[in-house]
Amino acid sequence: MSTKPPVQTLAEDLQQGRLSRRDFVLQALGLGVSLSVVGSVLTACSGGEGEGAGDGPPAPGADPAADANTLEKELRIYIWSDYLAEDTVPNFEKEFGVKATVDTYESNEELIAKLQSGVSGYDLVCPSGYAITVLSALGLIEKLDASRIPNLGNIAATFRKTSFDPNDELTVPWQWGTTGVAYRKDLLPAPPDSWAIFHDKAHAGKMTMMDDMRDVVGAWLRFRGHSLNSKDPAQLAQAKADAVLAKANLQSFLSAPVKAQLISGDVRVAQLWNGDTAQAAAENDQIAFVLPKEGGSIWLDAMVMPKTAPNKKAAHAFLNYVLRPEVGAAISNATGYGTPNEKAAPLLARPVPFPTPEEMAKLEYIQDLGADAQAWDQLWTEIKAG
Amino acid sequence: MSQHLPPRWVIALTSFVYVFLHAPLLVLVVFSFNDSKFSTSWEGFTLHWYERLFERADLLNALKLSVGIGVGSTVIATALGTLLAMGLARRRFPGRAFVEALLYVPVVTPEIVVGISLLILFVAMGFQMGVSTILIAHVAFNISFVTIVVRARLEGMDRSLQEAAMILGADEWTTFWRVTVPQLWPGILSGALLSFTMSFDDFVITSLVSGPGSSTLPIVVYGMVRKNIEPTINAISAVILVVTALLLWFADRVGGEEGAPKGH
Repeated sequence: MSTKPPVQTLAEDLQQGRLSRRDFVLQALGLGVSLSVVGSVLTACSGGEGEGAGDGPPAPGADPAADANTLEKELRIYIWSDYLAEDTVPNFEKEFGVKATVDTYESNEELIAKLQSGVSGYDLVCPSGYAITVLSALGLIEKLDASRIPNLGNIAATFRKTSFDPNDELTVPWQWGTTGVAYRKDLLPAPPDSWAIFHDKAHAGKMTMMDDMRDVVGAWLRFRGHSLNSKDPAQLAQAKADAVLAKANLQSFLSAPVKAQLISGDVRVAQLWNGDTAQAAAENDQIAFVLPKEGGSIWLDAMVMPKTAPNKKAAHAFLNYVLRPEVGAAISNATGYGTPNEKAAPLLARPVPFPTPEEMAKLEYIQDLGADAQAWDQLWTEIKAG
Repeated sequence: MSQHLPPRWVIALTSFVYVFLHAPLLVLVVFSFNDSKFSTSWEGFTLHWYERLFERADLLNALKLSVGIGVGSTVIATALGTLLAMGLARRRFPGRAFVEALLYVPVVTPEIVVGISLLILFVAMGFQMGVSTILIAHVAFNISFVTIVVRARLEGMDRSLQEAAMILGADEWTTFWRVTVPQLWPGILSGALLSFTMSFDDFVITSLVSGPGSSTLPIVVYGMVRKNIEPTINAISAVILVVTALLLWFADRVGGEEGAPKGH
């Protein structure tokens, strides 16, 4: 979750008329973007509504299961590593007679780059919220046909009408989580309740924050009561000062791998996702999670369908399949994160309760920073070097 | 012997280099037997991660694909590279020096540049990224390595045996298979081993030209880094280490025997 690609900035400049088409093409090529990508961005920006008519919607009232005979024989999924249960895909293949392949990526940026090449060949991909904003701005994803996904109703209202899909037409929410503080109950006198714990010299050298610009700077923005998507220079300067102060007490900036040190006790307090904390707690029950009173970030990864998807019917069938309560629950049991499916949530082995309205008020989605990404990058470099 | 023992600092330096090279591998193997999913401290002995290997269909499929692409690209690149080396050594033609110089371009060019250029080419040609594009890419960078290695072997080779075979009535084809290839064998084998290794652990180029259903082992492992590297990865690495060591030992023996007649 770092910066957005420069191409995106260019595309925005182009849309808002800050850049002529010719300059856009030249600059984009300078960035090493292939011609076909440039072409596709230009097409997307020209406002041509060439909606891929492709396969028309099914007859009203058609039973989606009866549709199975007409599904394509293949489905290609591109998703985060360890983001499916082991039987999710095999069971789908058996039931629907579709051969599915699964490939994995390591960052949203890698996924965006793959889709930008224009010939990715994937039917379904699973970016984080802010990356969906980028992909839809680039015109790379297609609206879903809700009539083919009757199980969409299983998604909790909390995870609908999100900032990156305000009309609920692009996404099927997949997994969600929050960023807060993981701590060792036995090694702290009292549970922390604020980001201020990272300013406490008593735990110097025994604490970590995540190796992620958005989460670290975001936490210190929240600490002072600001939005974690703030672009205000004064607020950012204050967040930087707070981060530098905390850094003196940190062992390192470390994300998911900190689980090992929490288990061994080398680290007592760590900024971490709730799902990873739950995984570590399964090995050591002295590990607990708290959402600081100032609030933190909530993230939601969602399935979207690239415009170039070759197997659109199979993709819709898969989305409807994973929204079944038992399939959704199995996925979340495997990942350790929360399911946005309200019928699946009660079936989880280790329940991850939906955020309460009070908590939701303290939680914020990380959003694309647009042109301000560079200022953030600069700030983060200074924090890490300073 | 003992009076020729090297100076102490040489022994110290050598030991340091060996520890530096091999300690990480040792740690990797030791932790493949560690009884904890996350911990970096020793929690007890287990064979669980080796059992898990058989449950992780994604890892096994990736391993199969990596071996398949490795073998496929090695066979093609070794055949083409050997022929190219022989052509360059035997024939005089205009621009030969230029062709030879071109051979080194893929070797010295940074991988990321090779990868991007292949990606742009494939996109421009409208190729669907996948196993075939990875195979083409691996053959492309392996040809140079094979040619350079086989070329080196050809330089030191005595041509009189081939001439003798021809004088004694063997045609070009028979001479090639019965005399030249056995003489060249150690060079061909090292070229092939080198290209299999390059193909098997390539990440940068592969990830750029990969597509649906073409996740090789390095790509799958890299994808796991963000969240958690399960010790299953250690287990599969340990298996690969042992298999590679056996292959090398085998290649060394075969290469040694076949190469032996040269001395006579």
